[in-house]
Amino acid sequence: MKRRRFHLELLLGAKVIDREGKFAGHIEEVRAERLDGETVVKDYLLGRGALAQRLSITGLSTQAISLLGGRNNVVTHRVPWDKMDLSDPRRPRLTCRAEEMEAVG
Amino acid sequence: MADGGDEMHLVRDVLDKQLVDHAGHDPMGMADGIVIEVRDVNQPPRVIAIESGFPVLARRVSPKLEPIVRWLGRRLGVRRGIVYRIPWSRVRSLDVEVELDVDADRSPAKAWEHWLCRHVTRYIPGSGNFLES
Repeated sequence: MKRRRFHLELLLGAKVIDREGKFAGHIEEVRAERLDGETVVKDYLLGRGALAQRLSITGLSTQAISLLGGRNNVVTHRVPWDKMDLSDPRRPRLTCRAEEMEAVG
Repeated sequence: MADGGDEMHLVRDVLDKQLVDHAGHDPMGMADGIVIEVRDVNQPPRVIAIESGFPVLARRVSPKLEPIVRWLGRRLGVRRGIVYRIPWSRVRSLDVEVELDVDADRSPAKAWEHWLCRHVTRYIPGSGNFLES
């Protein structure tokens, strides 16, 4: 596979669809870790929960939504790096079904 | 940075954070972009660099804006529209700021400050000659 470079900031907010073309969420955060002297992508976080976490307003936003009578449904979905197809970074795709994503937080 | 499973949130902890050098914590601009390299299917994508500069910011607003800002930079800018790319291996620590193993005064990040010192500040009475001090 040819090595390709892309800009992470352009991936932010990108709409992700699953293997069957179903909407899975928007990329809100990318987690990385140190491995064998390199910093590598560990997983991608999708969903409103990840957005709130990124903006550090998790507690505030959930309370505000509750006060306004909205559904307090701020779920974060975790997608491991090997389940994300970035052959076209503008149109990221899951290599699995959206239902198989792990909910965190 | 050492190995050991240190987990980092690239957007929350790096993107749009202040870059500083390790010697005097001199500001060197912002982390406007992060470059990722996708490799073999069995290898996770690798973080390879942080980018700083107006063209990177313009690309975030709209990819169509980037060449315009680069062109303006080439004609009017001190850095000639070049994006400053810092290899990820130069990142020493991530905290409130991103500390780099770079000398701010020798890097292109302070080109504007040096230009202002040479062309403006040195002519202000009482300012002293900052560049020669």
